[in-house]
Amino acid sequence: MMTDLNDGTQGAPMLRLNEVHTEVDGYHILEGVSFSVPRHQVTMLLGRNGVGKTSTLRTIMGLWRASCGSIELNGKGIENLSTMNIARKGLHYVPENMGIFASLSVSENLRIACRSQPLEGERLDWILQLFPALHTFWHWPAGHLSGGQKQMLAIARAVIEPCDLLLVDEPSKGLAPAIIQNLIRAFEALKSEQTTILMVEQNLHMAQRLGDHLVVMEDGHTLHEGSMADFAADSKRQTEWLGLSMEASV
Amino acid sequence: MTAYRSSDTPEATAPTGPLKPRTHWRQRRDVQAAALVPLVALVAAVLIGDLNAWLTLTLAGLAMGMMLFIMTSGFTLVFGLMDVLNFGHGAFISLGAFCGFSVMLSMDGWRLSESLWLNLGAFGAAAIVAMTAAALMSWLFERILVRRVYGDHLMQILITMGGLIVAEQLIYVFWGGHDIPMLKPPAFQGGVQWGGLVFEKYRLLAVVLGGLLFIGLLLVFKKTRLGLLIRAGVENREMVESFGYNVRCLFVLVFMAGSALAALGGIMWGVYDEVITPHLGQSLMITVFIVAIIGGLGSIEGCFIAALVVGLLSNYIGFLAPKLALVSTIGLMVVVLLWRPQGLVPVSEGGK
Repeated sequence: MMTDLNDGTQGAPMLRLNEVHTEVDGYHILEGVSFSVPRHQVTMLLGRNGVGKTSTLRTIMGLWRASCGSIELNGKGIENLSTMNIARKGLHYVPENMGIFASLSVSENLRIACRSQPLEGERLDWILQLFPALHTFWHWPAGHLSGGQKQMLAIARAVIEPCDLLLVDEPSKGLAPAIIQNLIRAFEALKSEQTTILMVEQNLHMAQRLGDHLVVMEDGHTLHEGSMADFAADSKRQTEWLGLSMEASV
Repeated sequence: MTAYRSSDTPEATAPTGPLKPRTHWRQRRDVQAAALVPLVALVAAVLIGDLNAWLTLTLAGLAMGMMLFIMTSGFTLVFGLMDVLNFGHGAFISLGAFCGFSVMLSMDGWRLSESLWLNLGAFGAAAIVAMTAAALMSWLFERILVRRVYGDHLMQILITMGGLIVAEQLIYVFWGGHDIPMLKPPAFQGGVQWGGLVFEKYRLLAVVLGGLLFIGLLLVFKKTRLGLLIRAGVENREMVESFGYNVRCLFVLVFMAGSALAALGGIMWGVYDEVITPHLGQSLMITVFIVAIIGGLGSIEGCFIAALVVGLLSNYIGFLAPKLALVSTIGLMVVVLLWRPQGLVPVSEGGK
């Protein structure tokens, strides 16, 4: 399932969107989204509410169909594949609502995510170390977890099997600052494993801490693509594009 | 093609280390709902006052409930997994009954024998043939009709109702339009005495068979990977797909299994009534739909509880106030929906 990362395409982006348009129920939601997700880096997808960030992730994952444009994973088009086949290409997804199976136990939630191997071994130990709460509540129905624990479970599910590209939609949404710090640590651990991540985030503090690459969206299309460091230093653009400044949000 | 495997047993994969014991959480809706069954029986016992009559009615109610459960389980799961309202489900009840009766009528040697085992053999053969036929038919039904109307409930109701009518007409073509009578095999007739009480044999058989089936289904759901995926799919289909599973394939499997169960329910019902008519499925479909609604669409535990309550209540009311018998099921639905608009055991909407 895991594609060979050392096949000479090291410099090429892992994922490339080219003029992607998406229509849902007759509404034109994405109107030309183009950006790249560099390999082994964390790409932050920013923008105001309702500009199409979540729709972009859903379109990549095949949950919504792109009406035109192309989405290439390692140079091969995936825009016509089913969600199942996109997942099997090594794209793992943490949706905005976390997609927890509430009536299933924590262990069952994780077991579903282990499609190609049993739920055990070093990888599981590593994840339980990262998120000790999951171990504590191993047999609990996941619906009884707190918001932060659910988010941790959602992320754990997405990374329990090694993945090529992790799509995460607003992991910090509705969580207390202390928990956000935990999440940042977890993502830093993933980053040190060279996982490629595409993350939608509203929390600029988190975005700045984790992001290498940056994509800003506005009204269904990409407004800017560049390095996170440059953007972090440019408060004028922060205000202009996101309507707030980095200092103002923690 | 299937992505799920049943090879990795669930419990072998728990991590080592201290585990917090399973804690009882408050507000178990399923437990509260399950309490309805003894509650209804108890209230009825007080109202009826006669132990013998009450036991007979209770056994009859449980037998009816078990048969309803067998018929409804497939319908409710198909809705839970793919949001498909399949009113054609009734066609498989009829089809099962007719195939089963044909097989049994052709096995006179076994069917008319006094031996319980030969009788059961004839019944078993009928069940296998009918369930296989229904599974195959439902595969076609899914391909031809249901697949085209995903996500559109109105179209689903219209086209599967149409399918039900066509299937019923096909029964007229193959079996003729007349009712088919058939006495119960000798070993199923009459009752067994226990103390001063009499239990009708076939009802006992139906209760045992239904109970075993429910336990079997629960084991599949709770202990196998296939069951795990079905439960997850009922809650959030998109997410199961996002993990790389073939939910379509899973759905077709559930559709076929559910139709096979409908066929089994059809035979059991037919043998119980000792006569089958081509519109058997259509008339039962209303009750099946009501049971699924009362239980909570998509919930297998809810379906079981609802089927038992409906079975018991219609027998009790039929005895206590025969004039109300016709409306008892509808009345129950109204009361339950006022209490729990999502049904007795609502399927968690956790991830949606």
